Amino acid sequence: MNTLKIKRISLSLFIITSVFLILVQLISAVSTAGETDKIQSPVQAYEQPDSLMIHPDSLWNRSEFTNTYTNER
Amino acid sequence: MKKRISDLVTVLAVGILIITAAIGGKKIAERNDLELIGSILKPGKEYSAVNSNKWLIPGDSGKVEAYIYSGEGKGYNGNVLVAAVTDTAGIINSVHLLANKETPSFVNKLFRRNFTDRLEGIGAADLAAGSVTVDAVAGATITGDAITEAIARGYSAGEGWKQKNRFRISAGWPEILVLLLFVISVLISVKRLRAVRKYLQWTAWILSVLFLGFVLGQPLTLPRFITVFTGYLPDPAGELYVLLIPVLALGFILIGGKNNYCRSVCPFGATQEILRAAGNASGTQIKRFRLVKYIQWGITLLAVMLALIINNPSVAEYSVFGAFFQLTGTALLFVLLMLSIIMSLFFRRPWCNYLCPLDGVMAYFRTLRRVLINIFRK
Repeated sequence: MNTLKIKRISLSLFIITSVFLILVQLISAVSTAGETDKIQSPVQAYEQPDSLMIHPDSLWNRSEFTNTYTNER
Repeated sequence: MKKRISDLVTVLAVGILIITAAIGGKKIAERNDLELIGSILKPGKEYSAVNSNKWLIPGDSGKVEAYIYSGEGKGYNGNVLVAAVTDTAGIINSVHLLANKETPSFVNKLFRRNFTDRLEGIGAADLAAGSVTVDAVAGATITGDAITEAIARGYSAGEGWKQKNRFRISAGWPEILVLLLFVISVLISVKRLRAVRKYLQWTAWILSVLFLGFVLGQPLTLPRFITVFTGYLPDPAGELYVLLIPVLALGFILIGGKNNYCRSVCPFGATQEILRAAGNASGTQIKRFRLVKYIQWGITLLAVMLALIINNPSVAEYSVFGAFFQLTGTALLFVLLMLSIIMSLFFRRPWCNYLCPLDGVMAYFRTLRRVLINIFRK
């Protein structure tokens, strides 16, 4: 087998594998984008708080929010 | 004949893209900010709107317990919608990213580096007045700035402040670097400089890899073109070089018909050239594989269509730039990167020639130029 033939075979394998990986990447990106939409809807946000950037409970777990404020503007 | 087929394919591709953009546009439901704000509250918690950017949360005693301000900031791929919860003194307690089109790896980077912790404890009024600044996270500067800007804008609008004019264009070393790289790319094709061409080319490649790739980490990507195609322009007051790269890259193609960006400016193209030199690979392309171009362009078209239908440009991100220069990306992209690096040792620019999504975009603009010239000649 000459060098050119080996080059052609390896390049073919590279292209086939890469195209497959890119297609899987695109499909996975599309499905992830769909999930993000669901998480951002109100109901999902309660059920999956960890999926938000800062989860909603963190707001109410802070000590500042357990007190009653008197310095209202 | 070949050129006619190419023109026909280009027109067909544009037609497909316009149809998919229309489908995607129809699918965008009117965003309900009120619902999104409700999503960050505990079930059963009451809140009432003061205006379209400010909400108050009453406590059990009936007094105001906290405020929520929401606003938008200009991100890399579109506007980001952010809500900040403040106490009654206006101190930020938590930050919520409600909607965004940013590349997930950038958002994850901010998340991992606890970017929002830097915002917590700051007075929203100080942020809106610009009297405090928040340190950016390297590699996700634009998204981080967009979050900060969104809070500042939300607070200003919520309190009825006059919106601060942020349009301050400032240029620094990144802009000078981008201009220098394009100037070198022009000098390379000057016949009189043939003797120093090699040195100029290597200077451009090394500068590009080190600074445009590793330090700045914002090369030209497919989502950048899609955002512009969907009518979103990045803020030039943010990072001017991000806007300068596509403008110069397309300018050179449309005016001179030459792809100077891919040849001399692209950091990953330069990386492959350096690897080719290391592997002592041949510079010629294998003839039979030229047909693979159509698969390459077909995948690009598919990625753009998906991004337009879902109305999220980041979906079309399958390049390996982020994985190589910023170590961000999915496992699949890292595998793709490894394969590309190995192949670069034996072939000339395997990523650029057979996979890069920008090749299709550049080819499209070259065809567009030819079609326009023909029209004007007639």
